[in-house]
Amino acid sequence: MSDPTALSASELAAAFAARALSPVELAKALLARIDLADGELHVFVTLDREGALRAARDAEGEIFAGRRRGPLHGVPVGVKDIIDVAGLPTGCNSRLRHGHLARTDADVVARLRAAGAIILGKVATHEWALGGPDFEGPAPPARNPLDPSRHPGGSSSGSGAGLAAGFFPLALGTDTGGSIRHPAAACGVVGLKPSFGLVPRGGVVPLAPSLDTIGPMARTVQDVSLLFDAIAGPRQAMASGRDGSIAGLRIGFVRSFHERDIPDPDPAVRAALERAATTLEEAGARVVPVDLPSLSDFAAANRAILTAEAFAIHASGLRTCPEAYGALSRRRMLVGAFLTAEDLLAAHRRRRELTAAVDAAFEEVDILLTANNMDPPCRMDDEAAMARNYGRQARTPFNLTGHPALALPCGLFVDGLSVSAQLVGPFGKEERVLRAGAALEGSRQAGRRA
Amino acid sequence: MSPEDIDALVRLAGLERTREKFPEDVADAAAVASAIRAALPHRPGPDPDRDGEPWPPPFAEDGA
Repeated sequence: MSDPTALSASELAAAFAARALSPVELAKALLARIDLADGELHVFVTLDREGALRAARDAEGEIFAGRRRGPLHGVPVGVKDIIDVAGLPTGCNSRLRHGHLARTDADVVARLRAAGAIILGKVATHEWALGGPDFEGPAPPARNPLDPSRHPGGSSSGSGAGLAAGFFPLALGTDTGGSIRHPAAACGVVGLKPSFGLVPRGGVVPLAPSLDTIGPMARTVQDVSLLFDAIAGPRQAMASGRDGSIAGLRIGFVRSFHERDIPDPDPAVRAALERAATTLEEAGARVVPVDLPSLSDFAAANRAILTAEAFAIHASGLRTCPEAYGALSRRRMLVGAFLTAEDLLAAHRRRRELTAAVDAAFEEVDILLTANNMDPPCRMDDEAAMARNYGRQARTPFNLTGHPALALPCGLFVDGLSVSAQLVGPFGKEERVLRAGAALEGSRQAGRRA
Repeated sequence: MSPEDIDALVRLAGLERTREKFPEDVADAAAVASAIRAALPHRPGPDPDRDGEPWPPPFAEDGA
């Protein structure tokens, strides 16, 4: 058996079924890897060593007795630290959460346990899923395993970094303004923001309730699909059974985001996206150009709604103990105090217009191909670069519209870090984006092997 | 947003103490909110919630 920490969830399931590997062996190998490397990477906020080993022993007994629950049985998952896991703190990287202990599992964690997954622990988040890296916060910020001096993305920073580090094969993240797809891009992994409302949010600390979405992250599209099936419920799981072919799929290539709306994106972005479009065409899809409204239109409406809702949730704390908030999240949340009802209504009207524009595009094509990140991740200690890059991305449109969006690697920057693309589908059509994502990923892997 | 507008909104939101402790954060937040407001379509136009009827709803010119 090769290094089990390098295996995908689907490879692990096969190894368990063949008795070539046991869940306990896997859990011990992952814990050893975490012990070796997490001192530098700071992925785990709470590592549930005993709970994970106990669950692994239970899974081993059930699987080897022929009572396998499904493909996630015995597979460890890292959970973003704004999602409740019974018996563990939900810290949100906030000073205000000191001493918190979740009494019950979040709905999404309950679904994972029902599928037999093992909760390995809670992983780093930016404060309240909003702030950036906070060197003064309760937990040190997670580092990017591909280059620990670089930003790992956020706010689901521990989820992305832990996958890239080989600490777990699956992770849960949340995405309100791109917080799954940003670390997926920065850490070179795969993340899906499902359709808004599809995955239940009970037991997850809200940031902006009309935008918050929980989603799966993994190192491969197939693993993202497995995790999505487990958390999205039986009806969606049946819908996402995918056979791989994208022959005849109509793909709208949105070049306007990186060619019109963002000044001077890294040249690797354009090159990688053009190659991705060609790869999808070679796999049988038909790629046609599609224009959407400008990124700044989407961003303004998204920021108005996000900051207004976040301020409404945190108003009391920001009045009475503003010093308990990190500078980045305090500044971002306070924006909501200076927006009026008229502003918020204008943002919601614009949201509906922009959603209608994206829906209209889906009358002509089956999915959209767009850029994700416009630059390689900047240095963790470069506040000016982080502020500059904050808006240089194409993720927020699909928080605003609620459409499902898959982020996956499609090329490399000159420094070897990943360029990430997005595949976006009509509401509720995750199956399509996952199928196209698997085709793109498979072609890239085949190209590297050739 | 004028300093008077910011003062009024700080009082309305009960953020006087927050501004005392973090004046730069409050000033920065007000500036960002102004930029967001400027980028939003505060203009008459078809209302997506009312089958494209005008927004804001025009007041009756006959005084009814």
